[in-house]
Amino acid sequence: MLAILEKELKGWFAQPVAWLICGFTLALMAYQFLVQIELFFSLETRLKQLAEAPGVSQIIAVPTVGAGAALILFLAPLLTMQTFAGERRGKTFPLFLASPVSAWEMVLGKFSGVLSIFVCLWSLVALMIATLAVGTTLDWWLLASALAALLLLTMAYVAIGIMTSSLTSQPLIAGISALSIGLGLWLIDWTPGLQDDPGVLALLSSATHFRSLASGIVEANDIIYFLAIAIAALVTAIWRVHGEREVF
Amino acid sequence: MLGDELIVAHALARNYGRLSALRDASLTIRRGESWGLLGLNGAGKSTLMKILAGLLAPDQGTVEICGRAIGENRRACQARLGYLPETPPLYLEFSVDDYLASCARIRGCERRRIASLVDRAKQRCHLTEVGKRRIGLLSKGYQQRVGIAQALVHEPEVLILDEPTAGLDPQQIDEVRQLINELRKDCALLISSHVLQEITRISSHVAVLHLGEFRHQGPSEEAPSLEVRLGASLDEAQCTLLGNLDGVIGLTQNAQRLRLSCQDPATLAPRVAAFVVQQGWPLLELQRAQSDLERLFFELTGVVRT
Repeated sequence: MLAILEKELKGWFAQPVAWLICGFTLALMAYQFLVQIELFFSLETRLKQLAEAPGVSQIIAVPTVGAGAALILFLAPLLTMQTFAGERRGKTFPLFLASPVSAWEMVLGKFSGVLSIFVCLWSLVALMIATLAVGTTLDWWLLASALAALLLLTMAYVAIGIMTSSLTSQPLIAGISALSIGLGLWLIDWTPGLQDDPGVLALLSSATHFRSLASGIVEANDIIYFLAIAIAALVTAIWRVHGEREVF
Repeated sequence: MLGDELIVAHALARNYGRLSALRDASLTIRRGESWGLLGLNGAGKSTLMKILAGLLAPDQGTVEICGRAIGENRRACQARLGYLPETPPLYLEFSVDDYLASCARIRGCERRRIASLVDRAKQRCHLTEVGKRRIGLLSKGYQQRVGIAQALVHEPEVLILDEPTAGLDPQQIDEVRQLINELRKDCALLISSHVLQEITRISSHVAVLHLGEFRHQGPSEEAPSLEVRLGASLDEAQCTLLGNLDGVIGLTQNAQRLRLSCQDPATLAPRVAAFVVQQGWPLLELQRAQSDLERLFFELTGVVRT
C-alpha cells in the first residue's frame, strides 16, 4: 500500500496541474481568511456591546474552514477522477493487475494518496488560522472540532470519488458522478421544510453533520455518518477492482 | 528437470461469451528457454499471456509459475514474473528513474535495493543516458524499452512480453534480441509476435497459436536447406555423390525432389547447380527450402510462397 501511496504522490507532484490546484485552493482559502478578518474588524464595535458575543474563532476560523468544505465538493471529484479511470484509459492498469498487490492495497493506496494532498492543504490552512493566536485568544477546541469536521468530510468525499473512478474508464464520467453524489448529499439540507421537520433526509445530509461538528458539538452520529460513507464507498471500490482482476 | 519448469500451463480454455479464445492449450517453458508465441491477430496470444500473468482466469485448466499454482498463490507467483502488455503501461509524466523505482516498489522490492535494480534494468535496456528524462518526451522506441525495463526491474524468473519489438527499428530489434539472449540464461521467457522472421530470431522455441489452439510447438532453429527438383530420380550412388559435396550436412530424396541441409544455402546453391549440370542431371528448380514452421505459418496466414 505504501508503494502505491508513494507512486500516487510522485505522479501528482510531477504534474503542473497538481501544483496549480494546490496554489489555487490556498489562494482562495487565504482570500476567505482575509475577508473574515475584515468582517471581524467591521463588527468589532458592535460585538463589544453584546454580553455573549462570538469571538475570533466563530467569526474567522469556523467560516474559513467552512469555505474549505465548499471547495471539497469540487476538489474531491477533480483530484480523484483519474485514480482508476485514468489508469484504465491510459492502459496502465495491467501494471497493478500483474503485480503482487491486492485490490484493497490499490484502493487504500490511492485513497491515502489523494487524502494526503488534502491533509497538506488543510494543515497549511490550520497554520494560517493559528497565526491569529499571536494577537488574540483562540478557542482551540472549536478550531480542532471544525478541522476534524473538514477532515471527515474530505475522507467521505474522496472515498466517493475513488468509488466512481473505480466504476468507469472515463475520468470525466467519474468526476461528474462524484460531483453529483457529493452535491446531492450536501444539498439535501436545502429541501424545503427540512429545517422545521428534520427527518430521515436530514440524517443523510452531509451539510447538517458538517455544521454540527464544525460548531464544536462533537456527537458520535456525525462522526459515524462520515466514516460510514467513506467505508461504504471504499468497499465498493475494492469490490470493483477485485473483480477487474479475475480470480482463479 | 521438473524444478526448471518455470511456466506450466495445462489444458487452458477461455471463452468470451460464445467466442472461444483459447482451447486446450498446454505449454511448458523451462529455465533457459525463450519461447516465441506466434499467431495472427485474434489467435489468442494476448489471452494466453494474460492468463499466465494472472490477469485473467481460465475457464478450464491450470497454470503453475515457478512450481506454484497461480490460482492459489497469485501474490507469490506475480512477485516472480514480469509482464509487458501489448501497450506498455507508462506514466508519461514520470522520469524513467522514478517510474522504474515505483515499479520495483510495487513488485515488493526492498527499498535499499531499488537504486541498484533500477540501474541494472536501465543498463540492460540501454536506458542509462535517459534516466532523468520524462517518459512522455522519449521516442516510441525508447518508450518500448522503458516498458521492457519495467517488466524486468525486479529481476523476475519468468518474463512474459507481449509484442516487445513493436515500434522498434531493426537495430533496436537486434538489441532486444541480445537482451533476450542474455535474460534467458536465468529466466523462462514467453514473447509474442505476429512476425515470423522476428520471432525465430529472438527465441529458442516457437509455438504457433491459431484460432485459440496450438498448431505447432518446437525449436525455432532448424538447419536451413536447399530444395532441388530434377527431371529424374537419382539412384543411391548419385545421391551419395551429391551428399558428399562440400557444405552439405544431410540429404533426403522424395521422388524427383531432393532436400539438402546445410549451414549456408546462399554459398551452396551455385555449387550444387554447377555440380548437377556437370553430372548431366536435368535441373528443373533450385531454391532455398521453407522450414516446416514457415510452411505452417504461411498456410495459416494464407500467404502463398513459391
